[in-house]
Amino acid sequence: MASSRAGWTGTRIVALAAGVVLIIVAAVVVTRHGGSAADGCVSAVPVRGVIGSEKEPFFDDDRVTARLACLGYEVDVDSRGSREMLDSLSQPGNGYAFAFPSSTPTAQKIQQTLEIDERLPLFSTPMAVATFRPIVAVLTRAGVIRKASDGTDVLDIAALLDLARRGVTWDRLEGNVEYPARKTVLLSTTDPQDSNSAIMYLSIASQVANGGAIVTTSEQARQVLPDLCRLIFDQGDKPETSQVLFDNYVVDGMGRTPLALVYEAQYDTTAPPPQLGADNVLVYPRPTVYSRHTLIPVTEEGRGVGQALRDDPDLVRLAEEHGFRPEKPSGQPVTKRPRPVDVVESPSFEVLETMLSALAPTAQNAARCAQ
Amino acid sequence: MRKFLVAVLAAVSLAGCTSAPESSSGPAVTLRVLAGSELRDMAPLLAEAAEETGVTVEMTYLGTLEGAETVASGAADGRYDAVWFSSTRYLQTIPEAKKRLANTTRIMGSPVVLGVREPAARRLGWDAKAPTWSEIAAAAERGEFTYGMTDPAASNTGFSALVAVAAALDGSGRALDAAAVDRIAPRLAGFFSGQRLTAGSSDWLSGSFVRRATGEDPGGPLDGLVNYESTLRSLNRDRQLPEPLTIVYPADGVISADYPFTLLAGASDEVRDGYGRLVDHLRAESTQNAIVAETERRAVVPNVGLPDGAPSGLVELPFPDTRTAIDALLVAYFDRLRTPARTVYVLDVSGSMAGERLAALKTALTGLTGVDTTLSGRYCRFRSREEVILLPFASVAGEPTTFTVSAESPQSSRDAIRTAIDGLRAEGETAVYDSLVKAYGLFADAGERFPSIVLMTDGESNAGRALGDFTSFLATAPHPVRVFPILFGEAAEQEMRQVASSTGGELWDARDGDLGRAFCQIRGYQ
Repeated sequence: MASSRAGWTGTRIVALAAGVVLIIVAAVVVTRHGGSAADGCVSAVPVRGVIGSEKEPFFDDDRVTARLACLGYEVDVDSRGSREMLDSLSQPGNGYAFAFPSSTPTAQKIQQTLEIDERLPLFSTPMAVATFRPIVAVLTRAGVIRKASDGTDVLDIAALLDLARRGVTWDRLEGNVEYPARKTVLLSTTDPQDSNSAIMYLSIASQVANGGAIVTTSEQARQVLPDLCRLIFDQGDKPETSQVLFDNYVVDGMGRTPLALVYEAQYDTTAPPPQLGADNVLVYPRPTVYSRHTLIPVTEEGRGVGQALRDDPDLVRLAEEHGFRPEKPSGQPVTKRPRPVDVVESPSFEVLETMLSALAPTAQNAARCAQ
Repeated sequence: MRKFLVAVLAAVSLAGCTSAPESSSGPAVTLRVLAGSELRDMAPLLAEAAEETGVTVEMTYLGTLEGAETVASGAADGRYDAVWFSSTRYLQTIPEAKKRLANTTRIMGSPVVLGVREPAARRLGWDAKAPTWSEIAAAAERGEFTYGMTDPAASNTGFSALVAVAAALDGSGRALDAAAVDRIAPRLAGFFSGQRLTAGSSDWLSGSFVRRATGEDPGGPLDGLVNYESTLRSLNRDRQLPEPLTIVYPADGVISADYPFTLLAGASDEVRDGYGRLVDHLRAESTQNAIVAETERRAVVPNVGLPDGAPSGLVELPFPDTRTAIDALLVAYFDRLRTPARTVYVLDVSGSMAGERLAALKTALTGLTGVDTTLSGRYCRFRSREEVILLPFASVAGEPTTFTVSAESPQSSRDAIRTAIDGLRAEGETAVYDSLVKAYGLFADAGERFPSIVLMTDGESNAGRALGDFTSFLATAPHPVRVFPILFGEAAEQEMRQVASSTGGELWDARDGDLGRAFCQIRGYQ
């Protein structure tokens, strides 16, 4: 076992001992209420995990917790942003049995930090753009939304970047009577400082700004920075989490959020479906990137949870109801959309970190990003 | 150890497959919350929430900036579990504060807009067609539109309006940066030439606006005020004004408050759990409907209607997320854009002030001269172009000393004020009302400057005029001036309260000793 984890053992025993007290209390309560095991279920142990916020509705779903419990895991999760997740996992005595981040780079970073070799890719969801039919009409005329080879609408990130570089506002797009707002045409994202979905945007945008090649060196990262300033910094204040961004899109509509970068799963979930109107529509950015929800087991129980989520048909089915695309899909996926055609991979965590640091809203960065 | 654990786990495992129906109730827990004063109207809904969820909320009310400072300085650590203000945007730009914030959940929303008295709205044509911020600024510059707005360093409505008008006038469509603030400053000055009333809190502003509209306060009615849509709608609903306000939504966009209920880092599991139950309850459809109906704010979950007749699809202007841009905007407002103040400090230096009390007064006033580098201290300092008049009094009113804070070298002016403060000596009786009357005589040439008097006294008036003489004097006073009395020592509370109410001012109580805080907070009203 790696040396960095050996130091935890002592504190973990303390944490476990504290847990025992809680369990005894719980046992008393349960016994009083006369609870009993359901048919075909095994006895469950408590397992704590740290997850990305976009999977919170999934783990809050009673059917998911019940099924996991039946398979032997009483799962309790804390949701954290990607950077915060690393911090939480580095706290001694944190008691987490697994981490379940939303992207490969974050998963790799966690593996590296905790010195864990294993990872279980469980489900994925492509990044998509939640927008409105009038906006699609405006951007189609402007050549920013085009037809992909399969006939679906796609948002051309290169064309969007071109508008952003020139600081074009919605009201200056030709013939735009649908949305004549004096705001720069930008795709709204979360704050990349602590949210995976915005990091996914950096993956897409940096590649487009780098002439279509994945950014691999800090020199390339430096060169694409002015473009990232336009796309990220010019938005100003951004929502903290992808759920807040999506809620703003659904509730406040196009006045606030004409274009939102969201997870396809947020839009397509049927558990429960979001309250969308006739004007709401989802298009893929071109290119897009997959958010790959990858579980890192810290303990044996954590691994068990990962395997259950991967292999149990009921849980796979529930993940699909929540809009995710499982690595081992059931025969009847909920998402009927064809897979996006133009997909890129994320840069490494280190390259992303370089970009993130350069985009943090500090005075120095503000001066560098100023046009 | 391991074996023991396994045994225990096996013994209790029967809990495994029972899944209790989801319910928002749970163990009783109390959340200590640092909150904005405008959230007082949530008390009935929070009481219901406590019954439903077992989570009791204990609110401590503070201004936005003071709240930010409390979090950033670590003074909230261990004393509060959560913060709940109309916005945490400012808080988020302070790294020491940001790192102390954990989960955040938006509870409701309300855009900051204009309420305009019907005759003024008709005259300006704003009842028929919503003006842009540029058109509003132009009307203000022409002298055709006067309004009240809160101090942007002390209150979120003033801050939001400042950002909105700046973003709209900039017109680049991007979040503002510091350079943009310089570019648009001349046009912003036009907008602020229409401001006639300021206040440290949104509620106080609307109260003062109403009293001026009804004639209860001197000064005559203003054309409009900047406030939350919810506050303006409540004023109309409760028929507090002679005629309802026309709510004007600037055509180029607004900045909205979103009331994020934010857990502080380091909260215990018990508190975290309570927080989760409470925000779930507050975001439930039924609670959201009640929020809309009772507070006129907007819901943040789908399927809940807007307040009756409120427009949908408002354009939200980009909000700068860097400290540099926000500071540039605030500094420009105070030092260049706003109409400067003339303030007379009527200071009791009677014999009873000698010793500790005089020392406390000096320290408190010195805090306004640029030596206090805390967050709130930085915005409390005397600003460029401002006029500060010190009028010490004892048996009779002393000689006023006037300081105009230099725009070129404001700190040297502040240093001069500090020297004068340092020279105060205590001796004699207490001629409160003679001194107030003398202070009123110091505004004849104040022009458009915001006039106010701060009265600090530690005892009853025992020389010269009495309160009755002063109130009779007010009827004939040439200029209406608000008086902000600060209670200290054995000050006469009832009389001071009457001085405040008869002049449209407000009473501050510093008998607990925090004189500096009182002087600083009153700055928001000057």
